Amino acid sequence: MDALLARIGYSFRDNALLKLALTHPSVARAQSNQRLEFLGDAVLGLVVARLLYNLYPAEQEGELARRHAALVRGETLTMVAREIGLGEALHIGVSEQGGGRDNASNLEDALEALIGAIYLDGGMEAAETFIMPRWSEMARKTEAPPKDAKTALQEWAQARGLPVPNYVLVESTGPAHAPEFTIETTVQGHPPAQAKAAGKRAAEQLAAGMLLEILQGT
Amino acid sequence: MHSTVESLEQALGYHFKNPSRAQPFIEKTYGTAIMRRKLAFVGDGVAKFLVSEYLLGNPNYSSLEERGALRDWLTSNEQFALYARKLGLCNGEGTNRNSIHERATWFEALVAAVYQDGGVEAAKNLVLDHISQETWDTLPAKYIGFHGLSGKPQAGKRIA
Repeated sequence: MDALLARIGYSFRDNALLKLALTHPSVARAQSNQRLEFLGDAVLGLVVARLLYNLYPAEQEGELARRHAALVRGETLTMVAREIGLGEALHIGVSEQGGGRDNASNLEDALEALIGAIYLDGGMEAAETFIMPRWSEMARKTEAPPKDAKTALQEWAQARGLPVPNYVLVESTGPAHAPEFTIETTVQGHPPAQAKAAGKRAAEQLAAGMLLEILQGT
Repeated sequence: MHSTVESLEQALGYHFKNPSRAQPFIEKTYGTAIMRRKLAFVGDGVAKFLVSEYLLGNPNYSSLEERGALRDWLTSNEQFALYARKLGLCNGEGTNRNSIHERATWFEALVAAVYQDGGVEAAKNLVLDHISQETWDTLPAKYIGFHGLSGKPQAGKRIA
């Protein structure tokens, strides 16, 4: 744990918060990092939004939103978690012993929990001190905002003189607290693609990505 | 829509230290529309953060799934559009997706403007003041099982 603290450059006043952030639900679900992860996700989202707003004053909100999505997605979080060696410090249960320390989802969740813990321990300033050096470098690296699947599909259609893609909610299943949405997307004159996800926007993105892959392969 | 900074401030119960931050909400021009959309990008993050902190501090919600679902609902365009109308931010009663998105943008932008002007506490008052009994009274049926709260929440309570 000391090695991790040295790598992140932050000393906790309340070490119990750090311990909680590093405790995977496989150890004890009730006393795990899930609550901190929920908060850390929101803290990271806000800090990255402010960073991009200040860094790219000439960009429209759609471009900023695409940059934001790229900077807070799972792959980015996993990469940062690996850079700071978060996996080595994770407290995991027996069920996660076979590779759980390097599991992308575990690392992503633990990093968000660590950010939540730093925020609770030292406030927004401390969270920014942890986030800014790591994310501002990544934010500067991409010259053009990355395109999401829906935007790419729309551009594909428009380049061929076709109307914008259509998205239809096919069904909503699962319990109220964990619904799943199936979305179908179509581009005029081509077969549709369907995808299911926990959120409508995510399902739309997945369906758009699938259709784009099919269309670009034809 | 408010025509003066004073009128907007009265509706908000907030006095801008820098009145120029209120300009995008009393002028409807192409330039202020762009400013509002950009501010809304930050305001969305501010609101999600404040609502997350509020939900974590409220012991009535026992699971993260509940909190996640409620956060999505409380920060949805539909809710933000209602808040915008309550504050008299913009005209229009349309119920289609574009109208709701437009009204939500006004509210999110205002959250960002207040955040930039008065910091997180000022934004907290604006966002959490709207999570009132009336909000819970309009909670969709699918969330009813999650609802354990009555009355206005206490803002900013932290539980680790």
